Amino acid sequence: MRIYQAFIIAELKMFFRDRAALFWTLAFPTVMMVVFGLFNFGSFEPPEVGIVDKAKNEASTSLVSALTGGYGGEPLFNVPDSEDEQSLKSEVEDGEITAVMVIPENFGQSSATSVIDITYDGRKAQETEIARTILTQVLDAVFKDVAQVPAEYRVENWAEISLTEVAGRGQGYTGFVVPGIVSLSIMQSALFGVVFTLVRLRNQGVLKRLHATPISPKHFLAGTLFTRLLLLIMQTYVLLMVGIFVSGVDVSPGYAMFWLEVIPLIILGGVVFASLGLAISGIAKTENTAAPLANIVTLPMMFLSGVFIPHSVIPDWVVAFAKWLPLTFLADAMREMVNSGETLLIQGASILGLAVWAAICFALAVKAFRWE
Amino acid sequence: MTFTPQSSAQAHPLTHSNDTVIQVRDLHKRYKDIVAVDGVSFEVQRGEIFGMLGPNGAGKTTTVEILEGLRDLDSGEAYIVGIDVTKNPTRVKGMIGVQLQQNAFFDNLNLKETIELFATLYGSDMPAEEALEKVDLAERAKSQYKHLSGGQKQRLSIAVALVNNPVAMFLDEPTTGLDPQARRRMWDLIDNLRTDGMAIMLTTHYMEEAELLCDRIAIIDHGQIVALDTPQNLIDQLKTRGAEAVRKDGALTLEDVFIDLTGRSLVE
Repeated sequence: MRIYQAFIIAELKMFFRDRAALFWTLAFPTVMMVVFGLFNFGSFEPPEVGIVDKAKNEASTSLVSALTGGYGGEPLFNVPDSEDEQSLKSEVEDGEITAVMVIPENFGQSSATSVIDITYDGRKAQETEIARTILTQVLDAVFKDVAQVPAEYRVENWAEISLTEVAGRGQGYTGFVVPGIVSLSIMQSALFGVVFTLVRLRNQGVLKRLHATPISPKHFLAGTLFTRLLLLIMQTYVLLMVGIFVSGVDVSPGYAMFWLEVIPLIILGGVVFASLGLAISGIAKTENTAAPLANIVTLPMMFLSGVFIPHSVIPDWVVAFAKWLPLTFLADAMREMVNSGETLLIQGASILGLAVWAAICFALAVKAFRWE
Repeated sequence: MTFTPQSSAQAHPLTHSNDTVIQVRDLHKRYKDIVAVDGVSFEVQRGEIFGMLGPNGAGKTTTVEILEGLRDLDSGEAYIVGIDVTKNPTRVKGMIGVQLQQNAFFDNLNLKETIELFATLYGSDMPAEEALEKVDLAERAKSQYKHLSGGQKQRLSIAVALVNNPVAMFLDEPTTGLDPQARRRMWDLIDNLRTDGMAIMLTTHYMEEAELLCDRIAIIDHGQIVALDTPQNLIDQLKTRGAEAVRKDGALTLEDVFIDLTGRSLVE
């Protein structure tokens, strides 16, 4: 026990004395969060609006076709498949889509003014305003050309648009990217931290000197792993704070237990990537081969694991592969917990996925480790 | 510190066989198609400094690393105070002091922390100050390892090797790469270790170092010991063979012994 303790204390001291490592651990992800928060890639897409058609008549069908690009051209709205009013509204609340528009049963009938209700996420007022403008123009066109309503019956208030604001819990693209970067940082810091430390210590001959002492590899490896996990927990807390105070993300709204429940998730992810780092440092002979090897492993995950780019905009056949990556499991679980305040236990599939990866990577690490 | 190797050599005669610390019998080791050690046998006694002299690649380091429990042997026997190194490497590692050829410690730890860490790894409670005092580094206790000079790094590695009060000390080319002043200081330090009564095994390719420090020297070439005796005897035997001296003043040295035995000079 004293040996583990001695290694952990020594390694913590070394880490905090290494200013460059500290900088890259914290400053780099912070910059990424701020920059990607500014980009707000989500707004380049057409507004995502769910449509519930209760009228199902000629006029309403024309309207829906016009909005979804049924008459040729780009769709004006990005419309999800579901037509269930309740589930669409809860998607708005979860921040997954911008708004839901409900076409009433009396739409297109001359007897009364029909009211199209748009329920929208309060924090996406700008996108909703774009959606409303589009809808007004399309409504006009639908009545004029498509439904062939005679001009004398065409009155301004044939259809009105009423806006209902709801407080969405989702966090838009910033909410998407912040937990992604937090997860990415766990991978980068665990993997690269371990790779570079170990390869350097081995090249310098420090590992060989440790091998000459009466300890077993497990003392040193467990000490290294434990230290790294402690640092990952600290790092994740700091980055989540940056997410709250700099990027304005509401971390795990209404669920304070998150701050405890995230620890097992960090540990699981940390074990996966630190073990992978150990395996790479065992395979690579020098720092010159270790760096490319580490990049080959991490770069695809950076882009395919839904850190910056949502899986919804990646081709299905890529997702079919990407969904099994360890960083996908980590980022998915982290995002659900950060954005929606979901508990750790609900993330069963992701946790199982990470656990399997942890077992594989740990076995690899033990097999590949060498002192010199 | 005065430098008097001859007097200490006489204080520790080689006849006490029950004082044998290091025992090697017919050691063989090959790496793929290269024979590194080819039938090496020797013993080192308490209080003795035993030198292994040879060019790079002669098998010095392999022999030492087998004794340190860092490498397996192909055949032969290696014992430290009667304990089989191949069967009990961990136990042996705890009893010996080691300075590796490419020795290094953690860059960002200071000397006190380094000693304390290694004391813990060896299960020793020697205070860091005491170990640093022995190698004259007490005033640098708070310096980080990376800020030490080459000579200071080598002295620190001796301090670390002393934390477990070892029965045997292995020094693999302790002065390679040091400037003459640091080298001389290292020699004083090694010579003083003799008084602690441990067996010291030293590899070197410096003739002067072997001649000054060692009570006995094994000259090793191509994995075999080609001569094993006190430095003076090696030179005397050469004299009786009537060999010519390399030095202009005509005095025979270990260099001449080496050339005579291997047919070539040591390349530094």
